Amino acid sequence: MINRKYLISELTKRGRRSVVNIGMVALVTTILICVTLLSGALEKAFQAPLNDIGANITVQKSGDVPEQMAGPVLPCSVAPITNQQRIEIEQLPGIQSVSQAVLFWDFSEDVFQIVVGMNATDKAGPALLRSAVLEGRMLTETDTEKALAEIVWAEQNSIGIGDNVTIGGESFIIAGLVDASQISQIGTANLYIPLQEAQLIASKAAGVKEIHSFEPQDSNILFIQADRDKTEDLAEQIREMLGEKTSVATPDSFKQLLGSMFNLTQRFSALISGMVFFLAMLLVVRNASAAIAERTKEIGTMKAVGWTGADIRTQLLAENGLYIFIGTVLGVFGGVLAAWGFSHITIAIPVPWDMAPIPHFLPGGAEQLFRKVQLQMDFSPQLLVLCCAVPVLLGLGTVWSAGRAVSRLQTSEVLRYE
Amino acid sequence: MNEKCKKEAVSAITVKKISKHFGSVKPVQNVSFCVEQGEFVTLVGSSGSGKTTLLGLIAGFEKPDTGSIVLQGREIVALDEDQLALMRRKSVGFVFQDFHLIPTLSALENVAFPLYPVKIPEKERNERAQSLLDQMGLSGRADHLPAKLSGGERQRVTIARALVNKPSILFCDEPTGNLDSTTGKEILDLLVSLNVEQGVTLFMVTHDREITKLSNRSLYMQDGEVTYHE
Repeated sequence: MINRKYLISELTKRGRRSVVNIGMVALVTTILICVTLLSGALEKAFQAPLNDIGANITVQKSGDVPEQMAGPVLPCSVAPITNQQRIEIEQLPGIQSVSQAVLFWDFSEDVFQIVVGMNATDKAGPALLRSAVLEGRMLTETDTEKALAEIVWAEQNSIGIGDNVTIGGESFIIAGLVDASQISQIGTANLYIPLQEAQLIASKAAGVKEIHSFEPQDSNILFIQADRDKTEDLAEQIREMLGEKTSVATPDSFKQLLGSMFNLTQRFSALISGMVFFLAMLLVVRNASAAIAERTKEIGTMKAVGWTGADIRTQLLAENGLYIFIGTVLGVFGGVLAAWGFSHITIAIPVPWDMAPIPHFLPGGAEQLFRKVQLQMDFSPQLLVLCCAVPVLLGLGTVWSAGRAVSRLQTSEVLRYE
Repeated sequence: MNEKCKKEAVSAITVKKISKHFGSVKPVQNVSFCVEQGEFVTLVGSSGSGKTTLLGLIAGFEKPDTGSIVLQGREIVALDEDQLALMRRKSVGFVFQDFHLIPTLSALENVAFPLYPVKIPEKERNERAQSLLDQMGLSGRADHLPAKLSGGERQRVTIARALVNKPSILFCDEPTGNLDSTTGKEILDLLVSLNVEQGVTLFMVTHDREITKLSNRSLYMQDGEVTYHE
């Protein structure tokens, strides 16, 4: 039977002890929430560049530099991937879908343009531009000689809906204007045309033929949707299939791209968080045990005046349960505040040049590209329950076992305790 | 066996051949005696003679190595800690030399403390505690924390706490040991009046031979043995 008066008087009249106990529980809860939220937010941030294009793996191959910058040429970072290789990749266990694209540079007398060929109905890759059409319409499966233009490039070149553009000597009518910034930096272009037409242009182009063998069904970028837990294994298998010069991007590879400095900082932060967390856990256990040890003589008095072991344990658990409840509430509040602070942090995920092959001779072409991601804090009831459960179980478990041990001692032993 | 305790069936305390040792130290050796209902018995002896250990054994604070202890007709040696606690709650009060009050509770709450685990209405519990504080002359000190009370007042609170469960036996361990002589005398008068007026059996450990004059009988202890009864 819990005595409320005794409970409240212990809480209020032993102010320092109460503050320390509550503070420790609050600290542990806050750290747990922060560490869990931050790690989740960072994982999401690393997936952002690929999520933007609806894939969790992208595949490219490096090849030779074009000998002449005339007509359509393949950038050295996107050498051909044969149709047979695509089919073999598609058959790997864990692969859900493979979308093809053909990216080439088109040099004519006074114009340079980056062109991407895509299947308008694909679930991943540039086809996701369907949600970024600002004017006109998206390409359809049956479209021929139609193109989408990136809106900034179109404005710079005074191109609008219905205008004609020439790509690899073929004429295309602009069907829509799109905001390509919404699909990250990967596989972005000035013009987007149907895949088959891009494949045909590339296969006929002299600049491509000089150094590559490109068949009309080949492509040079693959956007793959795969089982999340198999991503890294699949990436390894694809590298083995396509050879050394293959560039396979996954969320993990973006993490590595952040560089050793970031990794070091991340590891250092993880180490610090781990140490603080471990220390805080120890303090919860220590405080809970100290709370019992400090009151051992008092427990002797309880036993001497007729309190049974169960009476003593119930009272101690209620007292510490109250500390833990208040501490957990404050900890959750602290965690929410910290999460709010973290949600204002933006981190820049570097996108490798070869994934957004802008020629280095263009303004900004040689600069490192970044995908800026604002950290997203995902609070869930499960997370809160988990973060609160650790200090609650730890604190109450310690009190219960320490209280049990003390209440089992002979009364004289506890009364003599100093 | 004590001559005065011929009817064991009605005795308050019956101790038969109890011994206790801690390593090579034997504070209690083969002790036997009997205390009748309503008697005031003092246990006298010098420091280290084993009287506090003997009191602890009789009150069930620890177990003897051998022998038998019967309180109010119930053998207590075989009882576990919880059964002993319930036995104390029901029929025993204890007055400590160093009070053992709960520092965060008021005088009234300290008196009511043994009743906290008992299912009785709070109002009744507080009335009983207040009435005992009144009896102890502490009516105006009910809301004071132990730290705000004098030594004599704390000992009165301890006595009130020992009486709140209406015990038939009151064990006292040097109840005046930490008090000045005037306050000590007041406390003794109070305890004697409880014995005389309310018939509470009083078993008191003391090294003060003056106190023995107030008791019905004294047991003398030396080197762990009760040497003689007076």
